[in-house]
Amino acid sequence: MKFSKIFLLSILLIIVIAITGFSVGSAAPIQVDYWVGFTGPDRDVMKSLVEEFNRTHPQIEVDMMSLQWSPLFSKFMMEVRGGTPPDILTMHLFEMGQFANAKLLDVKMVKNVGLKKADYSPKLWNASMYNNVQYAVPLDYQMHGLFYNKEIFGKAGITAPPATGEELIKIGQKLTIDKNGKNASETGFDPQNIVQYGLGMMNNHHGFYMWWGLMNQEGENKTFTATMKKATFNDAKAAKAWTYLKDLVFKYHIVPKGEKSPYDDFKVGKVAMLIDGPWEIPGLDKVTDLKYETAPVPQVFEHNGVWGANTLLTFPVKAKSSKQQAAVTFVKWLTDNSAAWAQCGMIPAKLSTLSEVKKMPHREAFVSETDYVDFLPPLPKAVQVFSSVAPSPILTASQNVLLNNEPVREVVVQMKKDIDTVLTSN
Amino acid sequence: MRKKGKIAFWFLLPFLIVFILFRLGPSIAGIFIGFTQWDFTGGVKFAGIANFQNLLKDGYFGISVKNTLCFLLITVPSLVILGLLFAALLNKKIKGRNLGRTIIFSPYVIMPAAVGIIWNWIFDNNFGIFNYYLGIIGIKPIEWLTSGKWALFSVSIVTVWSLVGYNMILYLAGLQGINNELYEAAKIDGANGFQTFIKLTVPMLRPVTSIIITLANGFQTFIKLTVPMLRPVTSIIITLTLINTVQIFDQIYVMTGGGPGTATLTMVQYMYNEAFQNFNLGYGSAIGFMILLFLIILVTIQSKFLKSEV
Repeated sequence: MKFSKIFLLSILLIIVIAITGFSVGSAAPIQVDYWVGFTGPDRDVMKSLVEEFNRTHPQIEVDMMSLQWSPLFSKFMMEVRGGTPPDILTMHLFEMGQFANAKLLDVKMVKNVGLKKADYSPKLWNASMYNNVQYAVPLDYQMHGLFYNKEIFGKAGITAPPATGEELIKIGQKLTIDKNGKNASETGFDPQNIVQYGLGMMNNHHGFYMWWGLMNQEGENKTFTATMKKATFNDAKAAKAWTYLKDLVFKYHIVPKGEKSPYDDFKVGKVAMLIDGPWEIPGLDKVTDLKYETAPVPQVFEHNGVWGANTLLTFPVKAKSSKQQAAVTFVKWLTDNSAAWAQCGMIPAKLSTLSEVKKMPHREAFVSETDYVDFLPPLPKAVQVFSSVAPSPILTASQNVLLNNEPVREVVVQMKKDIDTVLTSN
Repeated sequence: MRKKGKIAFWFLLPFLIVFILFRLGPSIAGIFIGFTQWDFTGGVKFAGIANFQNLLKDGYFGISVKNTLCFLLITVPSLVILGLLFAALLNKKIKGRNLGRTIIFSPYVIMPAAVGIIWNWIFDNNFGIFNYYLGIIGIKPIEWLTSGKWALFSVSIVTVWSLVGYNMILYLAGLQGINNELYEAAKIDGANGFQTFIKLTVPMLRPVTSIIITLANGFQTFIKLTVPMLRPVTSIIITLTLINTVQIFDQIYVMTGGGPGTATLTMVQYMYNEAFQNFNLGYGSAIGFMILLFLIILVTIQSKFLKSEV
């Protein structure tokens, strides 16, 4: 009896040791909570980088959690309230302003990373600042580009992607085919029975991003007052930009109305061209019978311009602990190894990585846009204004133009009113 | 008897604790938060009735009330009538009765978010299966989810499809509780099948109909199925169930996000947006309070109309 009890206790002890990983003289690794908004192929690449870091830094264990951007920030705010924010949080420039304004981001931790200004382009360096204070570490940037199906182009005898707004319409019309084989520029074309469209583009908040890019092409870059409390964009230019996008759908019929997933349509050849970001590259590369290439977004108006965003790494304010140094160590490692991040399609922020990135397939078009990419500004209420969920001002405007075919002037007036209402609310 | 009561109390206690902590308590707290200004980061500031005054001027709130009413006008009668018809049909001893019941009930057990994703593809304007078959019979494609005219109706179709099985089951229980002798007496008196259905079956189902209207569109948990069976709390339960009826969220969030524009923006979606997207807890709670008022009015009207026990 006594022996069996000792035997059972020994087995129990072995199990406990195996579960807890107890070993004499060793301390558990410091856990760093790292929250990201990457949910596609970029999440998988970041996960592999985190695993690599954990493998080479056994004293630190980075625990990555990924959510879509909007729920990520909702969760972040609730955890702030509960006193348990993450150690590192990713975000974009336009969100950073709101959180910096609310004093939720730790500036000292960014200084501890020891970034060198010369390692980044001035645009990206400035995009990690709010009110001239650096609140974040730049990780990458991304922007819209044009994807085109080489096979469809070849069959139609088109040798180069469109470089201007007119070319986009002409090529789009040639590649929009009805069930009788007529294209959108031919007499007798039936817009009710289209089997292939020339262009796929999103009608959600990305519709607004395309508008933003076109506003910059018109040279309109004073969209908000210096205090960011009022929208000041020129109504005529705003209407012109929306009209161009609207006409692609309703006048020229080269974009399907109410397209649910332009990315999926491009993959299966239902649309010949696609306006989207470099984050789609890994997914498209996996489609074995899809031969595609990329090009800069066509220049529709007087200047070059395209919407873009930058991913930033921030340190939420929290009580001092040994985790903070561990978090800084991880962020520093990530920026030093950011060339690997390019596998997910994004353009790493460090200048030293650009030559490598340009050599990767389909990246050059995006890299060529870096000089004129324009980020959304860090408004105090940016999360509300630029929200991707109804009734956000930008989503409502985009869908009223691209889905509901509402008069553009009215949409511009309402959009401005809605944005101002949010910016001036308490 | 007293001992039985005590035993029942101990069995109910775990549920009551969870219910008070996670449903009743936060609901009451939410009413008070509606009178404050609170954005997660700052302190809670008393705002008086400012939130409610702003709501009355808020165009988007008005749109959400209108959309919610339209949504209820389409779904509630459909769920009640179709639930009754399916139950009446599948209460008879016909071949395939059990298979029929299973097929009609099975959408109810699918997660609402998954329902939204599936129907997103079915409703796709250009490549969805509905428009494909409409095209075969010569009908122009319908912009199911991307037209302000059709989007709310489309979401209503999905809601009725996913919930009608639940109402059918409740009606089946009601039908099987009707005494067969009543039908025999009606037959002897010369009543045909339709007369019997209208003059005998439907009135006998009035209490069940009242509960079904209250339960229609509710979000689906085990507690809403078993709780009505608990007599002592029936009146509280019916009120809470109507709250859930108006709280349609999952399918709309997944399928349209409240769009196109604001065509499918409901009160609950607007409340979620204000509280958790815009971090405006005070204003979001004020919307929640208005949803409560809206529900109280609805419950009062429907219970007076049906002269039910509530």
